[in-house]
Amino acid sequence: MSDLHAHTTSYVRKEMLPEQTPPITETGAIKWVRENLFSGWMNILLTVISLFVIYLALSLVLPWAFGGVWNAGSLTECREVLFSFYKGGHGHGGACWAVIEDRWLQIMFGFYPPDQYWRPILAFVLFFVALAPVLFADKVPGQLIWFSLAYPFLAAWLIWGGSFWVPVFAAMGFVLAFIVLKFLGKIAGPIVANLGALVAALVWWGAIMTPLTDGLNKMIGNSRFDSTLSTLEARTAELPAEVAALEAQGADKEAEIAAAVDAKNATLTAMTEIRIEEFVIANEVEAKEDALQRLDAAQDSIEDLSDILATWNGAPSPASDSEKDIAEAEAATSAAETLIGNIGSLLSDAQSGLADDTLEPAELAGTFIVGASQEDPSILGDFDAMVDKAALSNPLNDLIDRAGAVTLNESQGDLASLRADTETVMAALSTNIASLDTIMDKIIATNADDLVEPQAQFLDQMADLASLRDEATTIAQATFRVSSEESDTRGFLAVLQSLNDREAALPILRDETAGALALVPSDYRNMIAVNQLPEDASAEDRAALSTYLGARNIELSTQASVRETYGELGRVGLTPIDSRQIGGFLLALIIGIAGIVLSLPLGILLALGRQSHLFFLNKVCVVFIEVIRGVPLIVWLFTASLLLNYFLPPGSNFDLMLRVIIMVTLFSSAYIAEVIRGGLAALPTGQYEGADSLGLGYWQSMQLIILPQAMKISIPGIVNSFIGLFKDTTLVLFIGLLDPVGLSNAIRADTDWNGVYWELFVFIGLLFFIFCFSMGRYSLHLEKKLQREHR
Amino acid sequence: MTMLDDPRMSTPNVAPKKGFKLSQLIYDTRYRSITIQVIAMILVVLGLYWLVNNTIQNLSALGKDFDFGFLSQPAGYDINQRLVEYTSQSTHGRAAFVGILNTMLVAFLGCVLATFLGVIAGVLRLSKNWIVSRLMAVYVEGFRNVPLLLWIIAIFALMTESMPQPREFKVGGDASMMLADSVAVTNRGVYVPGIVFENGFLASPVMNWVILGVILIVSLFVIRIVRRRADVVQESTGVRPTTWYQQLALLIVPVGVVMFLMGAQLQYPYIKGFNFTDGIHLRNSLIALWLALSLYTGAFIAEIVRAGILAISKGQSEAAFALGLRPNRTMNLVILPQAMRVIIPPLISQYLNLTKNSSLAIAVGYMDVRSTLGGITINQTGRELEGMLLMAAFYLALSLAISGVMNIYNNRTQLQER
Repeated sequence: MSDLHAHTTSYVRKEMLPEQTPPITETGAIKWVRENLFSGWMNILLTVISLFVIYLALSLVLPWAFGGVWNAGSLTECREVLFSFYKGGHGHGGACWAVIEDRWLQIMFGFYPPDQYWRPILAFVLFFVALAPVLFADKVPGQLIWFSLAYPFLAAWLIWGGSFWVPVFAAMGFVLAFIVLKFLGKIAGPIVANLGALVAALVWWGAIMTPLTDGLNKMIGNSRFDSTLSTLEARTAELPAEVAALEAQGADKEAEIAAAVDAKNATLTAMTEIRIEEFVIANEVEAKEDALQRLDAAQDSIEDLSDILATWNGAPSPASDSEKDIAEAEAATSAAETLIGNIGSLLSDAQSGLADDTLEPAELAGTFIVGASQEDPSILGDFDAMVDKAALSNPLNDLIDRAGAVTLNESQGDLASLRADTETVMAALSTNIASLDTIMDKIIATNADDLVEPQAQFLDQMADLASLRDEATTIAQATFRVSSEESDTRGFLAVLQSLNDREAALPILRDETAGALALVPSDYRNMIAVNQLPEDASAEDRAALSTYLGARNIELSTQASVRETYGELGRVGLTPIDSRQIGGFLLALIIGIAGIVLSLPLGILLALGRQSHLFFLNKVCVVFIEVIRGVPLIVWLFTASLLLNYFLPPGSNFDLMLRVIIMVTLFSSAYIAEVIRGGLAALPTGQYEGADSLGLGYWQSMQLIILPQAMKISIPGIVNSFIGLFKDTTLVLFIGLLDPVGLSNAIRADTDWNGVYWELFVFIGLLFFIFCFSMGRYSLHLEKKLQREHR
Repeated sequence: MTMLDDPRMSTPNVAPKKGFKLSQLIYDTRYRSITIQVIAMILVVLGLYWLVNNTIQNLSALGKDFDFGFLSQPAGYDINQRLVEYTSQSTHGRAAFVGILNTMLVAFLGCVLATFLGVIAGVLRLSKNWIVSRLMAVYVEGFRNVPLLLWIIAIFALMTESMPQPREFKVGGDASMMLADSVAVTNRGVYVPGIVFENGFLASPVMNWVILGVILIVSLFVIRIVRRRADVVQESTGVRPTTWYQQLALLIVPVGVVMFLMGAQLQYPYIKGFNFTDGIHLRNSLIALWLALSLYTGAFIAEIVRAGILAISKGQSEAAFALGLRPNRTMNLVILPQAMRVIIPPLISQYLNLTKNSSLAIAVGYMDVRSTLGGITINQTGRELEGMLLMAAFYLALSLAISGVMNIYNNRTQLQER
């Protein structure tokens, strides 16, 4: 073939031509822009609108955010700094980030004692260690799961403090239940074993744990009693001196701060003096702009009036006797009359404003013989070029007279000339404003050099002030710590000294209570309040019951106070922290994490129950899930704060935060149940059938085959519920816990920061965003990984 | 244990034993489920009894009873936004009703705006235009990942702190009204024109609106009949009669005629003294709650819409084109019905979330059912238990009603699988 061609064709190209470079519109960035942003008129429109929106947002936010102030002790000081740099003139010139610098620790930790911050931080770090066996099962040693199981107790102990055996004993309830389950499971079958485990755990927590803790406290407390007493006495003697020393130090610091504030104010005053001419001009401009606005409005009114008169061809008069025509004419007349009134009052307002609030240019120039005009003599020339005050207000007087004479029969020509003359005055005013603006610019330019030094000085002074305030805060915290230690020591000393008496009184009180109870008729012995007595109860019975209740109250409270003293005396562990001290993101994290982790077991049970064929169990789970999900979280939180005490045995009262955690756990368990149900439903039926065909029982197949797979599929959903719950923790603000948003209100209540909104919102929102967004991305990543693994 | 001994295995070669032994209750699968359920029922009943008993004891110790009589007592407090007649002399029940209407109002407005925003953002996020899709991604991620409460408070602060005062709208002031002098955005709220009936059929303005609503619903119903008839004609002849003008007329004419007969007029807000009069005053609380709920839920709806559109495989539209369908018919007959099946259920659950989230009204003092029945009424009467129960029942009923509608829809549109 090729031979044939070789004979018939004269020329054949042997080698390829080199590739030509594509046209510039078909490569690189230009191609991308053409294809992605400007491919059609609709796309061009969208691109332009988007660019405009982005420009608008950035031009609002960036100058504000980057022109912000970081060193200041209050909003007023922020504004002073902004003012001295020409940033705060009108409205919000720059952000006052100083509030974040001042309060960010509070937003993170609430009122947690600063010297104990390491505890929540350690708990948070350990949380990731505890999560590792769940999330990276293939990369970490399997024994780590024991740490994960122990973690909840460890974290609770780290955050709330107290003796280390309290979490240990609480965990032992679970250990006991597990042992009983294994033991009974071998001899009596699953139902009995489960019930037995439940009973064992409840008995441990309800009846054994408290006496055991009390015994331990008492044992250690008694052995320490004498040494503690002598230490406390020694401390009580020392502490007042320490407090006094710290207070003196604090007072010194306060004096230093006051001096620094004075120095700063002096600089500010100096700067104000340099800029005084600007303010004079600004006043002048403001008055003229007011007048200009009034004249503008007057002109509009004249136009409206001439419109009305033009439609009616002069004064409005009814075309016929019909009611409608008369009413219309009357309405037009009254509108026109109002307009005439407006014109007069606007013109005279403008005139009196100009006459009272402005100066003659010559007068103005007179106040400028020193300062900026010295440096830039052309300023005085600018003053000369300005129109005299009389040239502005005299024509106005004439206009006012003419406007006063305007009637409903005014000719269009007169109105037009009135408008035109107003226009002339306005033009004169505008020229004056323009020259004042030029003068202002020149003054600012000449002042700029003079201001450089004070501005730098001012910034230095603010920085000094900030570091002084930091030192003062450290001293104040130390003072607070030592003085509260002093009062605590005193209080505890008094309590210890009375401990033996109270303990000795206990049997006597017990006898008294028993004696009082004997006098109460047996029908009434279970009552807990006099209210409960029937209407017809005799006065004696009433008195007996009330005596008995009083005696019992005293007995119980004495008993509780003795227990508490021993608890404090025998404590081996961390300083206890009150729940009210926990706030900010720490609170949000505790509630969010506790809610999700604690709700997992319950959620799994509910999901299994909803999938179950057992009619009664199924219906109970469905009702629980639907009721919880159908009612907003805020209603449940109010239930926790208002109603939970009704549902619990009389006299039981516990921490609001614990109540919230319980409620949030119940709430999220319903959502988790739905997520896990989705996971269960997503498993192929073959898995269930395979488990059955291996002869596994229900719990065995769930434990070994179904749940491990279903849980794995559900992890992204669980992470998403966690994000939702974490965001919802802000709602606890409404029942009096201090979440980040609640803290921002508390910060605003401080006079220093009254009026700071956006800085706090931006900070809190940004923290939430970072947290939730990264969690969301992680759950997406997990989802994709799961999809890959399934294929 | 061998396989034959295992009681869980029922093998046919073991003859069923006669008689009944007590151990069968635990070991025989036929009876075990009953045993478990009976035990569970006993536990549940015991638990409920414990709760109820505690409640009764606690209530009697406080000298309270369980009584809903407070609902017919005068409330004694004012509600600043009311859709029906209400004065401080009205009953607590009436106050709760006003609150319920306010909840429904903000929920309805929120659902409408959220759907609008969500559909636009969802579609634009799939746009090939890089900037637009990024911008929508920023909107969606920004709103989804910050608590709703923060948005509500921020928008409220924006309204009250950054908007001009009403007196600045006076002649010679700094602010001016928008949209041909009909809308004023002030720091006390937004004033928009309202419709008033000069000679309404009934005295109460609410009832006149109800009349209009009923007429509108009837019109929609008739329009559906017209469409059905067009379907029938199309199926028998193959040609669809043109009905759009009939539909349009049916939609507009009856409502228009009734509005004309009632003398409907637009009433513009205008400044009088230091405040606006006439028109409709949308309070800051309503605006903040409405906008925040819509923007927040809109971000979620955008994701739902995006997922719904992505869920339809490309083969569907290609097959429709292969059948010779034009693009708009492909959209209407092939893509949308399938996408809607994916979109509607999560969309309705978002509506449900929005309605429940409207209880955050407490943050801005909007008088919804939580603020009236669950707030002031509880504080004034001390009836926490009854008030909270009623409120929970209201939300529950609303949720169940909406999810009931969703189930009906699901059952109708579900693909028939094996």
